[in-house]
Amino acid sequence: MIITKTRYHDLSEVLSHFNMPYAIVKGNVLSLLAYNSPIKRISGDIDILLNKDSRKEFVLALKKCGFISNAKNRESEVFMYAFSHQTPSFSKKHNAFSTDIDLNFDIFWGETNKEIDMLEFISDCIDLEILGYSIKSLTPIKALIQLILHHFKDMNSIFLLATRKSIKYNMFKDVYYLLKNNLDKISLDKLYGMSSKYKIISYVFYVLYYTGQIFDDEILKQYIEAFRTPEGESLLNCYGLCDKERKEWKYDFKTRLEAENLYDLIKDDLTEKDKEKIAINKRVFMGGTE
Amino acid sequence: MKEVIADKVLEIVNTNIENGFISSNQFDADLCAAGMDSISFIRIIVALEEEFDIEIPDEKLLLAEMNTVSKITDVISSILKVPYEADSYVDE
Repeated sequence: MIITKTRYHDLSEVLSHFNMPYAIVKGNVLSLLAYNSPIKRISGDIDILLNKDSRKEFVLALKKCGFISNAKNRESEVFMYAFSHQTPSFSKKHNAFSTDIDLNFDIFWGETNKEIDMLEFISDCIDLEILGYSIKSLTPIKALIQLILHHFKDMNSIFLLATRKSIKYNMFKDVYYLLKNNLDKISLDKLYGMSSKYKIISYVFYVLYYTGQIFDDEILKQYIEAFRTPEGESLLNCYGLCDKERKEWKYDFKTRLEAENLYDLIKDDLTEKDKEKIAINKRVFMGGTE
Repeated sequence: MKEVIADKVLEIVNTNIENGFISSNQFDADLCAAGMDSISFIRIIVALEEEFDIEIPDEKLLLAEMNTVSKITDVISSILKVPYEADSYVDE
């Protein structure tokens, strides 16, 4: 708890030098919204959602408070700015740990042509308190949307599937309890309306469908059926974040969920272009060699 | 001066785009259509920064801002503070 408190103290300090809209997402905020406790989930870093125009000012605030960029080289930085909707993360070192802050400027991924007005998306943020520190967060319904899109990316990104266990039970647990414990604020009508507005019906169906494979819940089933579309169904047995990269899974969901090494399940499908993309992403995000 | 920059940009672009070629009368051609992808874009940017000893600002590191030789030349010229050069004309 003391480490989390220190991290939020560091974050507070940064936010005191920053006057533009933002939302803290995932991590302890998700824990509070989904499980009514900010420390039910373990989180190693703090994710902040910002409008792209705020980046310079936020980076200045970070540097003012002793944070340094984790960019490994110029190639990494260029890749992140141009294609990943992120900048390199920033860290402030303490004796035995560090406070790591990830800046995010979109809720979609680089491979999509979908866009969102980030200022609008974070315009109705709510005030939350995490271990005595006041921060701004997305409303529960927008937190669910952000979480769903994040999980869709994790379950479909060839890079993430190749390099980490990006399909995990806890992902679906978070979706289930965030929805279940906020049904008064995430009615089916509201969620459907917002998903239509952001043109993400099929992604919401996809993640809710797989959540329903683990949690047998009548209300969840209603949501799944309301969101079911042929487009969403066509995504269920595929991975890849765009049409060019999309491939069919050769393994069922249970196998994917239980596999320790997802790369073994996809390696025979990968093209040379896929492998090159994985290599460059590795260098940018993990400091590996090509 | 801007012509010199443009020529060097063209050389770097053609060195780094696989299976594509931009000629000297295609400065406004879409480089993505000519074969520039994310990987070649990064290589082009890094090569340009090394060649001209500059750092391209974050807000310019977008395909939409740097997808033609003309646009790239304009960005680099503005960083290097190359003065605007009027098109040459014949004084009749």
